[in-house]
Amino acid sequence: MPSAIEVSSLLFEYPGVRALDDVSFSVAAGSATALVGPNGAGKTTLLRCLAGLELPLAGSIEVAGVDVLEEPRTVHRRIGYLSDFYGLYDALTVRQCFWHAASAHGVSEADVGRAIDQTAERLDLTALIGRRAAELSRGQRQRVAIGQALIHNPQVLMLDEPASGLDPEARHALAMLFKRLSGEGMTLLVSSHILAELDEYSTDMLVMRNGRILEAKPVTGAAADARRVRVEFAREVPDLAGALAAVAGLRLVEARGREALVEIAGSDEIQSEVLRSLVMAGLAVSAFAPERENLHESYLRTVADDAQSKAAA
Amino acid sequence: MNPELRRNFWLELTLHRLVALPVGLGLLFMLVHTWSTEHRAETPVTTAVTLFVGFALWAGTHAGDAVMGEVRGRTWDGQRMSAIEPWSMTWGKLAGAPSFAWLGCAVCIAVYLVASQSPSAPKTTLFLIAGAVLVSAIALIASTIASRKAVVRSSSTAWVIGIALVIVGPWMSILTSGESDISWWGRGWMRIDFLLVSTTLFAAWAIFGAYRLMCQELRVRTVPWAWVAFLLFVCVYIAGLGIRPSDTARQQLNMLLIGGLVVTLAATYPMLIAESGGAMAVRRLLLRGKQREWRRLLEEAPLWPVSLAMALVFCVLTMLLAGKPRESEDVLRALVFAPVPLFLLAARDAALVMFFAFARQPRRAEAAALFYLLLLYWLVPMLLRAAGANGVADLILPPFWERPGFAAAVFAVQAAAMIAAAVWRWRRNHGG
Repeated sequence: MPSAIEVSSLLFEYPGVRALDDVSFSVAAGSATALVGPNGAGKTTLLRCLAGLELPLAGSIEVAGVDVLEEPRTVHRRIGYLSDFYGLYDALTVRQCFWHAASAHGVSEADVGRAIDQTAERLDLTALIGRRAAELSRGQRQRVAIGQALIHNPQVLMLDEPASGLDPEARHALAMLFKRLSGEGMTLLVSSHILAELDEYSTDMLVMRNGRILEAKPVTGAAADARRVRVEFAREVPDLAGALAAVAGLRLVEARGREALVEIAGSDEIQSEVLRSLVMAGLAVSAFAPERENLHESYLRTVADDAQSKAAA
Repeated sequence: MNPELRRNFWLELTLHRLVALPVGLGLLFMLVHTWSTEHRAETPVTTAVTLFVGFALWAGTHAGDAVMGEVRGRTWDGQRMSAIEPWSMTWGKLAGAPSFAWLGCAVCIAVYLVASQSPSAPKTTLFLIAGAVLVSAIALIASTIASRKAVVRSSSTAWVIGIALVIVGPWMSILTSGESDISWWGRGWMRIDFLLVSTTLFAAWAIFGAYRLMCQELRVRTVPWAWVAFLLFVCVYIAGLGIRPSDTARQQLNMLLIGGLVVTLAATYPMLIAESGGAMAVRRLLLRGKQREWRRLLEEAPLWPVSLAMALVFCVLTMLLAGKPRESEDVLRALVFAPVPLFLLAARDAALVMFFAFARQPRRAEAAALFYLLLLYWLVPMLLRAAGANGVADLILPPFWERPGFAAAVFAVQAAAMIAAAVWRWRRNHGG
C-alpha cells in the first residue's frame, strides 16, 4: 500500500529541549493511525511539523506525495488539520464558518454550497446550520471545527486530541465518523490520550515517548491479529507447555488447564499450518481464536517493553 | 470574492451598523453645520478632519488586532493553513478588519470634500487617506510580528497604534512644521506635494511589508530582498532631506553614505528586539551553512543580520569613498568621520542581545538586553560624568564623532568581549 505520510530523521528543538529526536515512520494511505504517548512526548510538535506549521531543524517530511519543507503551501491544500486548542469565529453561523473554510481552502464558489451541505450531513450538523458558533455545545463546536478541517475533502486528515472534553456519546459519534472517513479512503492521523476511543477506528498505532517513535505497528488486520492466538483443548493435556514447545511456528505465552495463549508470527497460511501441526501432534484442539490485543494493552506492552530494554541495557 | 474580506464583512458590517453609522454621523454634521453658520464657517471642515483622524486610529486598532485577535481566538493556525494567497490575506485584513472604521472615514472625507473651500482639499484628502492606510499597515505589521511572541499574545492591541504613531508621528511633525517648501536632493518641493508623495510611498512600502510578513506566516518561501530594497529606499529618501541645493557631488555622496549607515544601523535594533530568533535560529543557520543550503539559510535568516551586514557595507564604503566635511557642518555630517565606531557599537549591542537570547531557557531576553543597553548608553556614563570621572565614562561611551579613533578602539574591545561572552554562552547552553 502506498504511503500517505513519510517522515525521515526528523529533528525539532525548542530552547533546551529536543522535542523530536530522529523521528522516522510512514503511514499507509487509507489507514487510520493512532498517535499515542504521554504528555510532552512530542505528538503535537510532530503533527504541527507534518502540517507545515513548524519548521524542523533537520529531516524530511512527505505528506500526500508532497515535500512539506519544499512546498508547504501545496501540502496545505491536500490536508486537513485540527489543532488541540482550536477556535471558531463565534459570531458567525455554522453555514458561514463552513463557507469561509471552504472558500479559504480553494473550493470553487460553484461547489461551496454542495460542500457545506455534504459536510453538515457528514457531521450531523444540518439542523444547526443557521446557529451561531457561540450558541453551540462543546461537542457541536468540535464537530464544526472538524467539518472546517475536512470540508475540502483532504487526502490526509490530522487531528490533535479531537475527543478531549467530549462526553462518551459524542466520542462514540466522532469515532464512527472517523471510521466512515477512513472507509471512504481518507488517511487519518489522530493523536489522543483516550485509547478506548482510538480503539474503535484505528488500524495502526504510532507510540511516541521523549520525542522518539517507540513503535509503529498495525493494530487490526492479519498482521496484527496473528500475533496472539488463544487455543482451547477438548481435554486436559499433560505437560501442555512441553507439548506446545514441540510445535514449530509458535511461541508459548501462557498455558493453563485446557487452554493456552500462543504467539504466531506470520500470515493466515502460517496460522493454518500451526493449527494443522497441533492437530497432527495429537492435541484435541476445540478452539483456535486469534485474540486481538486492544490499543490500551498494546500501548502499555510497548511502553513496558521499552522500559525493560532500557533496564537491560 | 476574497474569503478573508467576506469573513470580515460578515463580522463588521451588519445591516444595523451600515445604516446607523452614516445616519449618526449625518446628524452630527447637521448639528455642526447649524452651529457653524452662526459662529465659525470652518467648523464642519475641522470636525470632519478630526473625526477622520479618530476613525483612522480606530481602523489601526482593528488592523492591529487582525492577526493577534486570530492568535488569541486560536483561529490563526487555520488561517495559516488555508489556500488564501498572502496578498489576498493582507488586503483582506487591511480592508476588511477595520471596514466599519473605514466606513466612518469615508463619510468624514466626503463631508470634508463638500465643506472645504481650500484649493488644496483634494491633495489633503489623498494625504489623509494615505496616512490612514500607513497607520493601519504599520499596525498590521506590528501585530504580525507580535503574534510570534507569546508574551504579547494575550494583551490589548492599543499599543500597536502607539507603535504606529511613534513611527509616523515624529516624521510627520518634521515634515509638517514650517511653511516653506521642502528641499529634497537639492530640489524644491511644495510641502503638501512632498507630504502626499512621501506618505503614499511609505504607505505602499508598509502594505508591501505586511504582505511579505504574511508570506512568511503562510509559509511562502521568501528571501530578504524586500528588506534590503526598503532600507536602500529609506537611505536615499533620508539622504535627500539632508542634501542642500548648494552641495557638491562629493557632499551629496557623503550624505548618502552616512544616511545609509545611520538607516541600516537604526534598522538593526528594532529587528534585533522583534525577531532575534535566539539560539534556535542560530543553530538552524549554522546547520544550513554546514549543509550548504544557501537559499534556505537566506529564507530562515532573521532580518537584523541583514541590516547589520548592510551597515558593514556602508561603513566600508564611507571609509573608502567619503570626503572630509567642512568645519561648519553639523553633527550628522560629522558622522562621516565615525563609521567604524558606529558599526562596532551596533555589533556590540547585537552580541549583547544574543548573549541574553542564548540563555538555556530565555525569558524576557529582549527586555533584559534593553535594560543593560539603557545602563550602557545613559545611566552609567551620566553618573560617571556627574561624579567627574570623565575618563572612565569615555571608556564606556566615548564621544565617537569627536575622537573617532579612540572610540573605535574602545568599541572594538567592548564588541570583542561581548561577542566572546555570547559565543561562550552558546557553547555552554547549546553545545555548539
